[in-house]
Amino acid sequence: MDFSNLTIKKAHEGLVSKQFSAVDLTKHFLDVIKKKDKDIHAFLEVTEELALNQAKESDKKINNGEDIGILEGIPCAIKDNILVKGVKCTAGSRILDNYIAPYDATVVKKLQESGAIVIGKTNLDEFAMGSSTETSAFGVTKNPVDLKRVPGGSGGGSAASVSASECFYALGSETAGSVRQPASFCGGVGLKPTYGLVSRHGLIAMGSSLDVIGVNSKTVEDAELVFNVIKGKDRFDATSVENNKQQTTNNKQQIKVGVPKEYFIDGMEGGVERCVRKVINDLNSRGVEVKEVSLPYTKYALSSYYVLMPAEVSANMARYDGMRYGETVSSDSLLNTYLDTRKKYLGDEVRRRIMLGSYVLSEGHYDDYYRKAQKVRWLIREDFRKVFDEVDLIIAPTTPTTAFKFGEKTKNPVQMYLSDIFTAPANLAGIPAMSVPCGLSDGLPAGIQIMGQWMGEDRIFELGKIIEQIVNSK
Amino acid sequence: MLSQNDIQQIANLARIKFTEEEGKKFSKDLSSILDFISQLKEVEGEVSDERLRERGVFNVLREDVDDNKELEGMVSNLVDMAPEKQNGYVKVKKII
Repeated sequence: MDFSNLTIKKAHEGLVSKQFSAVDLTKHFLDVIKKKDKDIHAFLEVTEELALNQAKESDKKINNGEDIGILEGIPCAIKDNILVKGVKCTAGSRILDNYIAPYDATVVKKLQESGAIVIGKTNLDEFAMGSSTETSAFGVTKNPVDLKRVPGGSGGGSAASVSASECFYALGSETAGSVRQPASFCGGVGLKPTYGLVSRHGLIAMGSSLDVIGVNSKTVEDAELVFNVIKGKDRFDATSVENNKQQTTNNKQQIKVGVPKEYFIDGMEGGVERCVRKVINDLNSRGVEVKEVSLPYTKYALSSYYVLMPAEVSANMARYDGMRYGETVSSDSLLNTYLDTRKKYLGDEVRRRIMLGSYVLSEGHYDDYYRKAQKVRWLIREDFRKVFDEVDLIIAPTTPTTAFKFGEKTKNPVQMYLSDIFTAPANLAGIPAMSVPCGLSDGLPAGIQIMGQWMGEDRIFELGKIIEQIVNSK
Repeated sequence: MLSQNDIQQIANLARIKFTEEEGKKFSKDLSSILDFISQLKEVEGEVSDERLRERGVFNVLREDVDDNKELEGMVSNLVDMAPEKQNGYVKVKKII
Protein backbone atom coordinates (compact mmCIF):
# COMPACT_ATOMS: atom_id res chain seq x y z
CA MET A 1 0.00 0.00 0.00
CA ASP A 2 1.31 3.47 -0.89
CA PHE A 3 1.11 5.31 2.37
CA SER A 4 3.05 8.32 1.10
CA ASN A 5 0.05 9.88 -0.62
CA LEU A 6 -2.29 9.62 2.34
CA THR A 7 -3.62 12.67 4.12
CA ILE A 8 -4.33 12.46 7.85
CA LYS A 9 -8.07 11.98 7.18
CA LYS A 10 -7.49 9.16 4.67
CA ALA A 11 -5.05 7.44 7.03
CA HIS A 12 -7.57 7.80 9.85
CA GLU A 13 -10.25 6.16 7.68
CA GLY A 14 -7.82 3.36 6.86
CA LEU A 15 -7.13 2.74 10.54
CA VAL A 16 -10.78 2.85 11.56
CA SER A 17 -11.80 0.49 8.76
CA LYS A 18 -8.89 -1.75 9.76
CA GLN A 19 -7.35 -1.66 6.27
CA PHE A 20 -4.06 -1.41 8.11
CA SER A 21 -2.97 -1.06 11.71
CA ALA A 22 -1.14 1.76 13.48
CA VAL A 23 1.83 -0.57 13.84
CA ASP A 24 1.77 -1.23 10.05
CA LEU A 25 1.70 2.50 9.41
CA THR A 26 4.48 3.24 11.89
CA LYS A 27 6.68 0.42 10.59
CA HIS A 28 6.23 1.76 7.07
CA PHE A 29 7.46 5.21 8.00
CA LEU A 30 10.34 3.82 10.07
CA ASP A 31 11.34 1.90 6.91
CA VAL A 32 11.16 5.01 4.76
CA ILE A 33 13.38 6.81 7.25
CA LYS A 34 15.87 3.93 7.21
CA LYS A 35 16.01 4.06 3.41
CA LYS A 36 15.96 7.79 2.75
CA ASP A 37 17.33 9.56 5.79
CA LYS A 38 20.95 8.61 5.29
CA ASP A 39 20.82 10.93 2.27
CA ILE A 40 18.46 13.58 3.60
CA HIS A 41 19.37 13.65 7.30
CA ALA A 42 16.11 15.23 8.40
CA PHE A 43 16.26 13.33 11.70
CA LEU A 44 18.69 13.73 14.59
CA GLU A 45 16.98 11.00 16.56
CA VAL A 46 14.54 8.29 15.51
CA THR A 47 12.38 7.21 18.45
CA GLU A 48 11.58 3.72 17.15
CA GLU A 49 10.72 2.09 20.47
CA LEU A 50 8.57 5.00 21.65
CA ALA A 51 6.74 5.09 18.31
CA LEU A 52 6.02 1.35 18.20
CA ASN A 53 4.80 1.35 21.81
CA GLN A 54 2.46 4.25 21.06
CA ALA A 55 1.27 2.47 17.90
CA LYS A 56 0.48 -0.69 19.88
CA GLU A 57 -1.62 1.40 22.29
CA SER A 58 -3.52 2.92 19.35
CA ASP A 59 -4.16 -0.53 17.87
CA LYS A 60 -5.51 -1.74 21.23
CA LYS A 61 -8.06 1.08 21.20
CA ILE A 62 -9.05 0.43 17.59
CA ASN A 63 -9.41 -3.32 18.16
CA ASN A 64 -11.56 -2.65 21.23
CA GLY A 65 -13.92 -0.71 19.01
CA GLU A 66 -13.14 2.53 20.84
CA ASP A 67 -13.71 5.83 19.08
CA ILE A 68 -10.37 7.35 18.14
CA GLY A 69 -9.41 10.98 17.47
CA ILE A 70 -8.24 12.12 14.11
CA LEU A 71 -4.52 12.11 15.03
CA GLU A 72 -4.54 8.69 16.69
CA GLY A 73 -2.00 6.28 15.22
CA ILE A 74 -0.59 8.88 12.82
CA PRO A 75 3.24 9.24 12.81
CA CYS A 76 4.72 12.71 13.23
CA ALA A 77 8.09 14.30 13.90
CA ILE A 78 9.09 16.97 16.41
CA LYS A 79 11.71 19.68 15.85
CA ASP A 80 14.63 19.10 18.17
CA ASN A 81 14.06 22.29 20.18
CA ILE A 82 10.76 20.96 21.55
CA LEU A 83 11.01 18.67 24.55
CA VAL A 84 9.87 15.05 24.40
CA LYS A 85 10.31 13.46 27.82
CA GLY A 86 13.06 10.88 28.05
CA VAL A 87 14.38 11.71 24.58
CA LYS A 88 17.57 13.61 23.85
CA CYS A 89 16.89 17.26 22.97
CA THR A 90 19.86 19.10 21.47
CA ALA A 91 18.44 22.27 19.83
CA GLY A 92 21.02 21.43 17.15
CA SER A 93 23.78 22.41 19.56
CA ARG A 94 26.73 20.59 21.08
CA ILE A 95 26.03 22.25 24.40
CA LEU A 96 22.94 20.04 24.79
CA ASP A 97 24.44 16.92 23.27
CA ASN A 98 24.03 15.12 26.58
CA TYR A 99 20.65 16.57 27.52
CA ILE A 100 17.69 14.22 28.00
CA ALA A 101 14.39 16.10 28.27
CA PRO A 102 12.97 15.82 31.81
CA TYR A 103 9.42 16.67 30.75
CA ASP A 104 7.15 16.91 27.72
CA ALA A 105 6.38 20.19 26.05
CA THR A 106 2.67 20.97 26.40
CA VAL A 107 2.16 20.52 22.65
CA VAL A 108 3.80 17.08 22.81
CA LYS A 109 1.59 16.14 25.77
CA LYS A 110 -1.48 17.20 23.80
CA LEU A 111 -0.39 15.21 20.76
CA GLN A 112 0.29 12.12 22.84
CA GLU A 113 -3.07 12.43 24.58
CA SER A 114 -4.62 12.44 21.14
CA GLY A 115 -2.74 9.25 20.25
CA ALA A 116 -0.14 10.74 17.91
CA ILE A 117 2.93 8.60 17.15
CA VAL A 118 6.18 10.53 17.71
CA ILE A 119 8.62 8.98 15.28
CA GLY A 120 11.65 11.22 15.84
CA LYS A 121 13.32 14.61 16.43
CA THR A 122 14.21 16.71 13.44
CA ASN A 123 17.30 18.74 12.59
CA LEU A 124 17.50 22.52 12.88
CA ASP A 125 19.94 25.40 12.76
CA GLU A 126 21.68 25.67 16.13
CA PHE A 127 19.18 27.05 18.67
CA ALA A 128 16.90 27.83 15.73
CA MET A 129 19.25 30.56 14.52
CA GLY A 130 19.44 30.38 10.78
CA SER A 131 17.60 30.09 7.49
CA SER A 132 19.16 26.99 5.97
CA THR A 133 19.82 24.36 8.70
CA GLU A 134 23.51 24.79 7.84
CA THR A 135 24.46 25.88 11.36
CA SER A 136 23.32 22.64 13.00
CA ALA A 137 26.19 21.17 15.00
CA PHE A 138 25.19 17.73 13.75
CA GLY A 139 25.35 18.14 10.00
CA VAL A 140 23.08 19.64 7.37
CA THR A 141 19.72 18.44 6.15
CA LYS A 142 19.26 18.16 2.40
CA ASN A 143 16.24 19.37 0.46
CA PRO A 144 14.46 16.19 -0.76
CA VAL A 145 13.52 18.00 -3.99
CA ASP A 146 17.19 18.67 -4.82
CA LEU A 147 19.86 17.20 -2.56
CA LYS A 148 22.37 19.90 -3.51
CA ARG A 149 20.12 22.53 -2.00
CA VAL A 150 19.17 23.60 1.48
CA PRO A 151 15.76 22.70 2.87
CA GLY A 152 15.53 26.14 4.44
CA GLY A 153 15.76 26.91 8.13
CA SER A 154 15.79 26.91 10.94
CA GLY A 155 13.29 24.03 10.74
CA GLY A 156 14.76 22.32 7.68
CA GLY A 157 14.46 18.87 9.23
CA SER A 158 10.74 19.23 9.90
CA ALA A 159 9.94 20.45 6.38
CA ALA A 160 12.22 17.87 4.75
CA SER A 161 10.80 14.96 6.75
CA VAL A 162 7.30 15.79 5.49
CA SER A 163 8.48 16.45 1.94
CA ALA A 164 10.28 13.09 1.87
CA SER A 165 7.15 11.36 3.21
CA GLU A 166 9.02 10.22 6.32
CA CYS A 167 6.00 11.25 8.44
CA PHE A 168 2.62 12.91 8.00
CA TYR A 169 3.42 16.15 9.72
CA ALA A 170 6.06 17.73 11.92
CA LEU A 171 5.98 20.33 14.64
CA GLY A 172 8.37 23.21 14.17
CA SER A 173 8.98 26.64 15.62
CA GLU A 174 9.18 30.11 14.15
CA THR A 175 10.80 33.34 15.23
CA ALA A 176 10.97 34.86 11.72
CA GLY A 177 9.77 32.24 9.30
CA SER A 178 11.49 29.04 10.39
CA VAL A 179 8.39 26.97 9.57
CA ARG A 180 7.12 28.84 6.53
CA GLN A 181 10.39 29.37 4.68
CA PRO A 182 11.45 25.67 4.77
CA ALA A 183 7.89 24.71 3.81
CA SER A 184 8.20 27.00 0.80
CA PHE A 185 11.62 25.58 -0.14
CA CYS A 186 10.52 21.94 0.21
CA GLY A 187 7.11 22.22 -1.43
CA GLY A 188 4.93 21.75 1.65
CA VAL A 189 2.54 23.65 3.87
CA GLY A 190 3.91 25.60 6.82
CA LEU A 191 1.63 27.13 9.46
CA LYS A 192 2.60 29.88 11.90
CA PRO A 193 -0.20 30.37 14.44
CA THR A 194 -1.11 33.62 16.18
CA TYR A 195 1.37 34.36 18.97
CA GLY A 196 -0.15 33.02 22.18
CA LEU A 197 -2.55 30.47 20.72
CA VAL A 198 -0.12 27.57 21.09
CA SER A 199 1.74 27.07 24.36
CA ARG A 200 5.50 27.55 24.27
CA HIS A 201 6.05 25.51 27.43
CA GLY A 202 8.75 23.00 26.52
CA LEU A 203 9.98 24.96 23.49
CA ILE A 204 13.61 25.92 23.96
CA ALA A 205 13.36 29.70 23.92
CA MET A 206 15.10 31.86 21.36
CA GLY A 207 13.19 35.18 21.14
CA SER A 208 10.37 34.93 23.63
CA SER A 209 8.17 37.70 22.22
CA LEU A 210 8.49 36.25 18.73
CA ASP A 211 8.68 32.43 19.11
CA VAL A 212 5.70 30.32 18.16
CA ILE A 213 5.27 26.59 17.59
CA GLY A 214 4.01 25.76 14.10
CA VAL A 215 3.21 22.86 11.82
CA ASN A 216 4.78 21.48 8.63
CA SER A 217 2.42 19.27 6.64
CA LYS A 218 1.53 18.19 3.12
CA THR A 219 -1.92 19.75 3.00
CA VAL A 220 -3.76 22.70 4.49
CA GLU A 221 -6.35 20.38 6.03
CA ASP A 222 -3.62 18.38 7.78
CA ALA A 223 -2.13 21.57 9.26
CA GLU A 224 -5.59 22.60 10.45
CA LEU A 225 -6.23 19.24 12.13
CA VAL A 226 -2.94 19.39 14.02
CA PHE A 227 -3.41 23.06 14.96
CA ASN A 228 -6.79 22.26 16.50
CA VAL A 229 -5.15 19.70 18.79
CA ILE A 230 -2.08 21.68 19.87
CA LYS A 231 -3.71 25.06 20.47
CA GLY A 232 -5.04 26.24 23.80
CA LYS A 233 -4.29 28.37 26.84
CA ASP A 234 -1.75 26.73 29.14
CA ARG A 235 -1.07 27.66 32.75
CA PHE A 236 2.62 26.88 32.16
CA ASP A 237 2.89 29.58 29.48
CA ALA A 238 1.85 32.99 30.79
CA THR A 239 1.83 34.39 27.26
CA SER A 240 -0.72 31.87 26.03
CA VAL A 241 -4.33 32.91 25.45
CA GLU A 242 -7.63 31.30 24.60
CA ASN A 243 -9.01 31.99 21.13
CA ASN A 244 -11.94 34.25 21.88
CA LYS A 245 -12.48 35.43 18.32
CA GLN A 246 -15.75 34.66 16.62
CA GLN A 247 -15.28 32.05 13.91
CA THR A 248 -16.14 33.56 10.54
CA THR A 249 -16.24 30.60 8.17
CA ASN A 250 -19.97 30.13 8.58
CA ASN A 251 -20.35 33.66 7.38
CA LYS A 252 -20.84 33.34 3.64
CA GLN A 253 -19.34 36.74 3.04
CA GLN A 254 -16.88 36.92 0.22
CA ILE A 255 -13.24 36.76 1.33
CA LYS A 256 -11.41 40.02 0.70
CA VAL A 257 -7.70 39.66 0.07
CA GLY A 258 -5.00 42.34 -0.05
CA VAL A 259 -1.81 42.09 -2.08
CA PRO A 260 0.85 44.34 -0.51
CA LYS A 261 2.98 46.09 -3.08
CA GLU A 262 5.99 46.11 -0.74
CA TYR A 263 6.34 42.32 -1.06
CA PHE A 264 7.28 42.39 -4.74
CA ILE A 265 10.82 43.70 -4.78
CA ASP A 266 13.74 44.07 -7.17
CA GLY A 267 16.03 41.13 -7.02
CA MET A 268 13.38 38.56 -6.18
CA GLU A 269 13.34 35.47 -8.39
CA GLY A 270 11.18 36.00 -11.48
CA GLY A 271 9.81 32.46 -11.37
CA VAL A 272 8.64 32.90 -7.78
CA GLU A 273 6.84 36.14 -8.62
CA ARG A 274 5.20 34.50 -11.65
CA CYS A 275 3.89 31.56 -9.60
CA VAL A 276 2.47 33.86 -6.96
CA ARG A 277 0.84 36.26 -9.43
CA LYS A 278 -0.72 33.35 -11.34
CA VAL A 279 -2.50 32.25 -8.17
CA ILE A 280 -3.58 35.80 -7.36
CA ASN A 281 -5.04 36.20 -10.85
CA ASP A 282 -7.09 33.03 -10.48
CA LEU A 283 -8.59 34.05 -7.17
CA ASN A 284 -11.17 36.36 -8.71
CA SER A 285 -12.73 33.49 -10.65
CA ARG A 286 -13.04 31.61 -7.34
CA GLY A 287 -15.17 34.24 -5.67
CA VAL A 288 -12.36 36.00 -3.84
CA GLU A 289 -12.06 39.76 -4.03
CA VAL A 290 -8.47 40.93 -4.53
CA LYS A 291 -7.11 44.45 -4.17
CA GLU A 292 -3.73 46.11 -3.79
CA VAL A 293 -2.82 47.32 -0.31
CA SER A 294 0.20 48.92 1.30
CA LEU A 295 2.25 48.04 4.37
CA PRO A 296 4.66 51.00 4.30
CA TYR A 297 6.98 49.96 7.12
CA THR A 298 7.70 46.51 5.65
CA LYS A 299 11.21 47.46 4.60
CA TYR A 300 12.21 48.08 8.22
CA ALA A 301 10.91 44.76 9.50
CA LEU A 302 14.12 42.82 9.09
CA SER A 303 16.31 45.45 10.78
CA SER A 304 13.87 45.77 13.63
CA TYR A 305 13.89 41.98 13.95
CA TYR A 306 17.70 41.84 13.95
CA VAL A 307 17.77 44.16 16.93
CA LEU A 308 14.90 42.75 19.00
CA MET A 309 15.61 39.07 18.44
CA PRO A 310 19.33 39.15 19.33
CA ALA A 311 18.45 41.23 22.41
CA GLU A 312 16.08 38.49 23.58
CA VAL A 313 18.54 35.81 22.50
CA SER A 314 21.29 37.33 24.64
CA ALA A 315 19.03 36.91 27.65
CA ASN A 316 17.70 33.46 26.74
CA MET A 317 21.14 32.03 26.05
CA ALA A 318 22.51 33.08 29.44
CA ARG A 319 21.23 29.83 30.93
CA TYR A 320 23.76 27.82 28.88
CA ASP A 321 26.51 28.37 31.40
CA GLY A 322 27.65 24.87 32.26
CA MET A 323 25.99 25.07 35.69
CA ARG A 324 22.52 23.55 35.47
CA TYR A 325 22.42 21.04 32.61
CA GLY A 326 24.15 20.33 29.35
CA GLU A 327 27.84 20.16 28.71
CA THR A 328 30.34 21.91 30.92
CA VAL A 329 34.04 22.70 30.93
CA SER A 330 35.26 22.61 34.49
CA SER A 331 37.53 25.54 35.12
CA ASP A 332 39.41 27.27 37.91
CA SER A 333 36.87 30.02 38.46
CA LEU A 334 33.18 30.66 37.91
CA LEU A 335 33.85 33.19 35.15
CA ASN A 336 36.19 30.85 33.33
CA THR A 337 33.68 28.03 33.53
CA TYR A 338 31.17 30.30 31.77
CA LEU A 339 33.70 31.47 29.19
CA ASP A 340 35.22 28.06 28.45
CA THR A 341 31.92 26.19 28.33
CA ARG A 342 30.31 28.69 25.99
CA LYS A 343 33.37 28.98 23.78
CA LYS A 344 33.70 25.24 23.37
CA TYR A 345 30.07 24.33 22.86
CA LEU A 346 28.28 27.26 21.23
CA GLY A 347 28.60 27.82 17.48
CA ASP A 348 29.51 31.02 15.63
CA GLU A 349 26.03 32.20 14.72
CA VAL A 350 24.83 31.77 18.29
CA ARG A 351 27.79 33.72 19.68
CA ARG A 352 27.32 36.40 17.02
CA ARG A 353 23.71 36.96 17.99
CA ILE A 354 24.44 36.95 21.72
CA MET A 355 27.02 39.67 21.20
CA LEU A 356 24.80 41.68 18.88
CA GLY A 357 22.03 41.49 21.47
CA SER A 358 24.30 42.54 24.31
CA TYR A 359 25.48 45.48 22.22
CA VAL A 360 22.04 46.82 21.32
CA LEU A 361 20.95 46.62 24.95
CA SER A 362 24.06 48.23 26.37
CA GLU A 363 24.35 51.75 27.75
CA GLY A 364 24.72 54.33 25.03
CA HIS A 365 23.16 52.08 22.41
CA TYR A 366 19.85 51.06 23.96
CA ASP A 367 17.92 54.08 22.67
CA ASP A 368 19.37 54.07 19.18
CA TYR A 369 18.81 50.40 18.63
CA TYR A 370 16.49 48.61 21.03
CA ARG A 371 14.02 51.37 21.78
CA LYS A 372 13.99 52.40 18.12
CA ALA A 373 13.36 48.82 17.00
CA GLN A 374 10.46 48.53 19.48
CA LYS A 375 8.89 51.61 17.92
CA VAL A 376 9.33 50.23 14.42
CA ARG A 377 7.77 46.98 15.57
CA TRP A 378 4.74 48.91 16.78
CA LEU A 379 4.51 50.72 13.42
CA ILE A 380 4.62 47.40 11.54
CA ARG A 381 1.83 46.06 13.72
CA GLU A 382 -0.19 49.21 13.03
CA ASP A 383 0.37 48.72 9.27
CA PHE A 384 -1.33 45.34 9.54
CA ARG A 385 -4.11 46.61 11.82
CA LYS A 386 -5.00 49.31 9.29
CA VAL A 387 -4.95 46.96 6.31
CA PHE A 388 -7.14 44.44 8.15
CA ASP A 389 -9.80 47.15 8.31
CA GLU A 390 -10.04 46.85 4.52
CA VAL A 391 -9.34 43.15 3.90
CA ASP A 392 -9.60 39.81 5.73
CA LEU A 393 -6.33 38.34 4.55
CA ILE A 394 -3.05 39.38 2.95
CA ILE A 395 -1.22 37.25 0.41
CA ALA A 396 2.37 37.55 -0.72
CA PRO A 397 5.35 35.41 -1.68
CA THR A 398 6.81 33.48 1.28
CA THR A 399 10.42 33.96 0.20
CA PRO A 400 12.17 36.05 -2.48
CA THR A 401 13.85 32.97 -3.99
CA THR A 402 13.58 29.20 -4.20
CA ALA A 403 15.97 26.93 -2.26
CA PHE A 404 19.58 28.04 -2.66
CA LYS A 405 22.64 25.78 -2.81
CA PHE A 406 24.70 24.81 0.22
CA GLY A 407 27.34 27.39 1.07
CA GLU A 408 25.75 30.00 -1.17
CA LYS A 409 24.82 32.40 1.64
CA THR A 410 27.17 31.46 4.45
CA LYS A 411 29.96 33.94 3.75
CA ASN A 412 28.02 37.05 4.70
CA PRO A 413 25.48 36.85 7.55
CA VAL A 414 23.32 39.66 6.13
CA GLN A 415 22.85 37.69 2.87
CA MET A 416 21.41 34.81 4.89
CA TYR A 417 19.22 37.12 6.99
CA LEU A 418 17.58 38.51 3.83
CA SER A 419 15.87 35.13 3.24
CA ASP A 420 13.45 36.12 6.01
CA ILE A 421 12.51 39.47 4.49
CA PHE A 422 8.89 38.45 3.77
CA THR A 423 8.35 36.20 6.77
CA ALA A 424 9.65 38.36 9.64
CA PRO A 425 6.79 40.90 9.60
CA ALA A 426 4.20 38.33 10.69
CA ASN A 427 6.34 37.36 13.69
CA LEU A 428 6.88 40.97 14.68
CA ALA A 429 3.14 41.61 14.51
CA GLY A 430 2.15 38.31 16.14
CA ILE A 431 -0.33 37.53 13.38
CA PRO A 432 -0.93 34.06 11.95
CA ALA A 433 0.45 33.11 8.54
CA MET A 434 0.65 30.01 6.39
CA SER A 435 2.80 29.13 3.39
CA VAL A 436 1.18 27.00 0.69
CA PRO A 437 2.98 25.56 -2.36
CA CYS A 438 2.08 27.54 -5.48
CA GLY A 439 4.03 25.95 -8.30
CA LEU A 440 7.58 25.48 -9.49
CA SER A 441 10.19 27.99 -10.55
CA ASP A 442 12.89 26.28 -12.63
CA GLY A 443 11.87 22.96 -11.12
CA LEU A 444 12.05 24.18 -7.52
CA PRO A 445 9.05 24.75 -5.23
CA ALA A 446 7.74 28.27 -4.69
CA GLY A 447 5.48 29.22 -1.79
CA ILE A 448 2.71 31.76 -1.38
CA GLN A 449 1.86 32.92 2.12
CA ILE A 450 -1.45 33.94 3.58
CA MET A 451 -1.35 36.32 6.54
CA GLY A 452 -4.42 36.77 8.69
CA GLN A 453 -5.80 38.80 11.54
CA TRP A 454 -4.87 37.94 15.10
CA MET A 455 -6.66 34.63 15.85
CA GLY A 456 -7.93 34.54 12.26
CA GLU A 457 -6.59 31.07 11.40
CA ASP A 458 -9.99 29.87 10.21
CA ARG A 459 -10.00 32.29 7.28
CA ILE A 460 -6.42 31.37 6.48
CA PHE A 461 -7.38 27.70 6.22
CA GLU A 462 -10.35 28.63 4.04
CA LEU A 463 -8.23 30.54 1.53
CA GLY A 464 -5.45 27.96 1.76
CA LYS A 465 -7.80 25.24 0.56
CA ILE A 466 -8.95 27.42 -2.34
CA ILE A 467 -5.32 28.03 -3.35
CA GLU A 468 -4.59 24.30 -3.14
CA GLN A 469 -7.43 23.70 -5.59
CA ILE A 470 -6.07 26.34 -7.94
CA VAL A 471 -2.53 24.99 -7.84
CA ASN A 472 -3.54 21.32 -8.10
CA SER A 473 -5.80 21.97 -11.06
CA LYS A 474 -2.92 23.24 -13.22
CA MET B 1 33.12 49.78 12.27
CA LEU B 2 33.35 48.07 15.66
CA SER B 3 36.87 48.09 17.04
CA GLN B 4 38.55 45.07 18.58
CA ASN B 5 38.12 46.86 21.90
CA ASP B 6 34.36 47.27 21.40
CA ILE B 7 34.06 43.58 20.56
CA GLN B 8 36.09 42.59 23.59
CA GLN B 9 33.87 44.72 25.87
CA ILE B 10 30.68 43.19 24.47
CA ALA B 11 32.15 39.72 24.74
CA ASN B 12 32.98 40.26 28.40
CA LEU B 13 29.40 41.37 29.12
CA ALA B 14 28.02 38.37 27.30
CA ARG B 15 30.47 35.87 28.79
CA ILE B 16 31.75 35.01 25.32
CA LYS B 17 35.35 34.11 24.54
CA PHE B 18 36.98 33.56 21.16
CA THR B 19 40.34 33.19 19.45
CA GLU B 20 42.01 36.17 17.77
CA GLU B 21 41.06 34.74 14.38
CA GLU B 22 37.42 34.42 15.43
CA GLY B 23 37.56 37.92 16.94
CA LYS B 24 38.52 39.46 13.61
CA LYS B 25 35.66 37.67 11.84
CA PHE B 26 33.14 38.62 14.53
CA SER B 27 34.25 42.23 14.30
CA LYS B 28 33.73 42.25 10.53
CA ASP B 29 30.39 40.41 10.69
CA LEU B 30 28.94 42.49 13.51
CA SER B 31 29.96 45.72 11.79
CA SER B 32 28.24 44.66 8.61
CA ILE B 33 25.10 43.66 10.52
CA LEU B 34 25.06 46.98 12.39
CA ASP B 35 25.41 48.76 9.04
CA PHE B 36 22.34 46.97 7.79
CA ILE B 37 20.41 47.71 10.97
CA SER B 38 21.31 51.39 10.89
CA GLN B 39 18.54 51.95 8.34
CA LEU B 40 16.27 52.13 11.42
CA LYS B 41 17.62 55.66 11.87
CA GLU B 42 15.43 56.69 8.92
CA VAL B 43 12.37 56.14 11.07
CA GLU B 44 12.39 59.32 13.10
CA GLY B 45 10.00 60.52 15.78
CA GLU B 46 6.95 58.62 14.56
CA VAL B 47 6.18 56.85 17.79
CA SER B 48 6.49 58.70 21.08
CA ASP B 49 7.57 56.93 24.24
CA GLU B 50 4.07 57.45 25.67
CA ARG B 51 2.48 55.80 22.69
CA LEU B 52 4.79 52.85 23.16
CA ARG B 53 3.70 52.53 26.79
CA GLU B 54 0.05 52.53 25.72
CA ARG B 55 0.54 49.35 23.72
CA GLY B 56 -1.58 47.36 26.08
CA VAL B 57 1.21 45.09 27.24
CA PHE B 58 0.54 43.89 30.77
CA ASN B 59 1.87 41.38 33.26
CA VAL B 60 0.07 38.08 33.74
CA LEU B 61 0.21 36.96 37.35
CA ARG B 62 -1.23 34.06 39.32
CA GLU B 63 -1.76 33.33 43.00
CA ASP B 64 1.42 32.23 44.72
CA VAL B 65 -0.04 28.85 45.64
CA ASP B 66 1.64 25.45 45.28
CA ASP B 67 -1.05 23.41 43.56
CA ASN B 68 1.20 21.67 41.11
CA LYS B 69 0.59 17.97 41.71
CA GLU B 70 1.92 17.19 38.26
CA LEU B 71 5.24 18.77 39.17
CA GLU B 72 5.92 16.44 42.07
CA GLY B 73 9.44 15.11 41.92
CA MET B 74 10.28 17.57 39.16
CA VAL B 75 12.66 19.64 41.28
CA SER B 76 14.87 16.67 42.09
CA ASN B 77 14.79 15.58 38.44
CA LEU B 78 15.97 19.01 37.38
CA VAL B 79 18.68 19.31 40.04
CA ASP B 80 19.86 15.86 38.98
CA MET B 81 20.76 17.23 35.58
CA ALA B 82 23.34 19.64 36.98
CA PRO B 83 26.98 18.59 36.54
CA GLU B 84 27.58 19.21 40.24
CA LYS B 85 25.02 18.94 43.01
CA GLN B 86 24.84 18.49 46.75
CA ASN B 87 21.93 17.89 49.13
CA GLY B 88 19.33 18.77 46.51
CA TYR B 89 21.10 21.96 45.49
CA VAL B 90 22.94 22.82 42.30
CA LYS B 91 26.56 23.34 43.25
CA VAL B 92 28.53 26.18 41.68
CA LYS B 93 31.91 27.80 42.11
CA LYS B 94 32.48 30.66 44.48
CA ILE B 95 30.62 33.74 43.27
CA ILE B 96 31.84 36.42 45.60
